[in-house]
This record gives sequence, structure tokens and C-alpha cells, in this order.
Amino acid sequence: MKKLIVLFAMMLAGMSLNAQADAIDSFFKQYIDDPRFTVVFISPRLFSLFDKMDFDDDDFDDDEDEAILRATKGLKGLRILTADDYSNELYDEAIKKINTTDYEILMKVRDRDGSNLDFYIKESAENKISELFLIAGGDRDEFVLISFVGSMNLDDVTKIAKDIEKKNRY
Amino acid sequence: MNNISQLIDKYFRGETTLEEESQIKTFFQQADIPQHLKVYQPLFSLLDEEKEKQLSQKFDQEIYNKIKPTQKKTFRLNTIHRWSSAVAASLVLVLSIWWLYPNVEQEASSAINWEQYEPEDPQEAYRITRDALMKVSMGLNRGAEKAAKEVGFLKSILKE
Repeated sequence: MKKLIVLFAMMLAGMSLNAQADAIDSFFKQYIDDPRFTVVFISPRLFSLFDKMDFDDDDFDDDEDEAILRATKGLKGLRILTADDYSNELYDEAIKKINTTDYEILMKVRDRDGSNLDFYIKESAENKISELFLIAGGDRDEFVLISFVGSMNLDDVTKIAKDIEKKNRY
Repeated sequence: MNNISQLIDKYFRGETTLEEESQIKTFFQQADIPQHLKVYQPLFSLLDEEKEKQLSQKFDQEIYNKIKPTQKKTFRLNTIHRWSSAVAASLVLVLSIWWLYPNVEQEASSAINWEQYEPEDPQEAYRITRDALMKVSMGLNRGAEKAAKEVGFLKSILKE
């Protein structure tokens, strides 16, 4: 009997742990049925398809593709939430709803024009990023929420834009 | 006779000497005891009997035999305890590992049905991923650039 109680207590504790692990889900859940939003999810299955894809499209540049493939290698999911209006309210609301025990702020950029860009990260054990979370809003024409779940290397990510900038310069 | 009655009274007052007490005892050991003193006989003869009693050789063994089963029982309880805590500890370990490192299957079984939000065309998915990565990448660079600019600005102030 005692054992049963202990087991039950542990299951409950486990469930709350599990709930914490799904922090991103509970965050998205608040918006997912809202018709104002567009929701996109890229699964690991789709990420794995990128590798085999034939990029004959002029849109895609080889170096760029490589950088993107490298960045998506450890990803387990990409979730995007966008809204064309209410950028200001949605940003304020989202900022309040972020569970700061789950997420750590990486950087916050506020422009003179009133637009905000916030980066949050969740770190796994070995100081590795297990989730990158971006919120863009404020005085701009759209509200964007992007969550990358999985192991990420920030250097790989920052390289993407740098490579493209370099390419555009020449 | 009176003497004996007086001695008994003295005994109950706790004033008798050892000698007087042995006198009382020898008196009660004799066969005919006056009627009115017979009530006291068991008390004094019992004292003697008790004194003669000794622990038998088997006493230790008997006590040990009596204790043994209960000891065995508590030992068994302890082992059950130890076992259950070991099982509980390993369960906690396994469960925490399971929950701390959610695998892909778990990701998919989360409350939201994410599948319905997946683009059907991989090229489309790739384009979206690229745009998202670009946005993040540019944002990170801009933040870093701004921070660098601020640091440079601060340095120039400090130099002046």
C-alpha cells in the first residue's frame, strides 16, 4: 500500500515535470485556436527531407543551403506563429506569458521606431541550447513568434545572415 | 508466641534486623503454626522459596528461542524496506531520465496536434525554415552589432 502511494506521488511529480518540458506547447496553446494567427510547424521528418532535396531552384544558393542544413541538423521542431495586426498588444501579452523559470533571456533589441525583438533560450545540461525562442512585435506591421526546439549552435545561426550579406555585397 | 507476633509487627514497620527476620522465617518453617499467624506463612515461606530459585542452565537458550522469531521478523521487514527503497530510487532515476530527455516520439504525442500545421510541400517547408533562420540570424547579428556599437561608444567616452 505504502509503495503504491509512493509510486502514485512519483507519477504526479513526473507529470508536472513533463508539463514543464512542454512549456512551448502550453505557450502556443494559448494562441493556436485564435483565428488572428497563422501557425506553421516544421517536423523533424521535414528537416530530414531537406538533405535529400534537389535544389535546382535559382532561389537557393549552395553555400546558403549548406549553412541552413547545418543549422537544422539537430532540430526537433520549428514552430512559427504570426499575426498581421495587433502587433503591439500581442507583443506585450506574449512577454507577460513567458515562463521565466523555463526560459532565459538571451537578448532584447528595441529600436527607436518602437519595434521589439526578444530572444529567449532554454539550456539543456551541458550549457547547450535546447530551444531558441524569438518574439518580434511592437510598432511594426507584424507579430512573429518563432521557436526552434532541439540542439542549436548560435554560431551556425549567426553565420547564415553574415554569409548572405557577404554575397549581396559582391 | 507473643514474641513472634511482636516480631511480625516490627517486620511490617520495617524495623527488624536480619537476625530477627531469620527468626521469623525459621518459625514459619515449623509444622504447627498458630491459627492467627497462618495468614503470614505464605509470605515468609515464599520469600525463602524465591531465594532458592535459580536460573536454569537452559534459561539463556529459552530466552534466545523466544526472541529469535521476532528478530527474524524485523529483519525481514528491514529487507522489504530496503528493497522497496531501492526499487523506488531506481524508479525515480528511470522516470526522471525519461522525462528530462523527452525523445521525438514524446514530442509528437504532445497535447497539440502539430501535424495539421505542417506544410505539405518540402520545398515550402524549406523556404519557411530558411526565412525563420534568416530572421533569427539577422536579429542575433543586429543585437550583437548594436551591443558592439554601444561598447565602442562607451569606450570612446571613457577615452576622452
